[in-house]
Amino acid sequence: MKRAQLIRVAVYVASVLAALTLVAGALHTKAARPLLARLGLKCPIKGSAADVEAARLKSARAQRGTEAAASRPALGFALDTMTLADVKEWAENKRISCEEIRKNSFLRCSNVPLTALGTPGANGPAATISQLDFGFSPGNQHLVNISAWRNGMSATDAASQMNAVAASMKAELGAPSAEAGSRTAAYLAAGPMHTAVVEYRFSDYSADVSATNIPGRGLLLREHYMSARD
Amino acid sequence: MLLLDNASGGPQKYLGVKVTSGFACESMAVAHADLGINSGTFDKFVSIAAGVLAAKPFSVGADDLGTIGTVLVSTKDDIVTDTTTTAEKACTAPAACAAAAGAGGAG
Repeated sequence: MKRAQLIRVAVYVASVLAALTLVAGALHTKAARPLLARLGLKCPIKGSAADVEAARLKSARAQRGTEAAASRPALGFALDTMTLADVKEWAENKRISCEEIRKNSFLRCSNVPLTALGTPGANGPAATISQLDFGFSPGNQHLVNISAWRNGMSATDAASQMNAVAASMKAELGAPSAEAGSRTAAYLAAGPMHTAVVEYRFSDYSADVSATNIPGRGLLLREHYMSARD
Repeated sequence: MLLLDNASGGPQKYLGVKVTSGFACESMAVAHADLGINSGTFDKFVSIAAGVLAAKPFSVGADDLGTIGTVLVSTKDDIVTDTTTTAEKACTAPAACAAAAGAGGAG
């Protein structure tokens, strides 16, 4: 990005952030907390499950595409159909360790082998999802959001696995809505925060796969699948 | 946010406890002290931020991302407070919990 362009973006971001910071900052003062409590509001960072779902829906609406997805792949799980109970049953059957981080709305499973997801192929650390996060609508406990994280990867493994995921997405969804960075080990290893992203945006679904070089922590590969239905 | 703006060359200056407009804010450590953020969550935030900034409409280049990332990561020690591993907490699959405990756990 050219310096002038960067400064324009920074100035725009700064003006928005300054306004938000002022409002958010004022609402976080000790003086404003009793007022928020009387209004039945909570600190946004510590919002309820309903608050989190409202924010997710707002984000989904903002990034929606125009066409409906022909299919909605999500690591073998069915968005908007499966429930928290279904996913817990899957975990129990596969002997996967999970923790209900937020009651009825957020389940996190750790060290999930790809074989438990019906995905053959990779061996070694790359064949294990470090954390698999499931988000559920708090109203009906339907599955609406999945993030699969593989951390501490080598650039070679991250590029290889990202390309495998991107190829699988392309086979099911067609050409991506957007791409950034380069899905090569050389690019990902070249510096801190070097990132490659592949995005799909539909009217009822979104999917992303990204790899980021986290300074001092290796490569972090993320697969993200989300319902965009209201 | 002010920190990011500062890192990307914007007009706001993040000075830790006070910004140039005179609006007082908390230090990174104080602001995040009771949020229980662990190292993995911090890395996820950095990854998501990088993905959003790299993609359209921002299309931030690799060098600028590197600069922003270095600044973000410099705050990690102030923000991360929860060192508890997932395996140490309750889980929903008793058989898997027993297996994890037997293997010494894995965060």
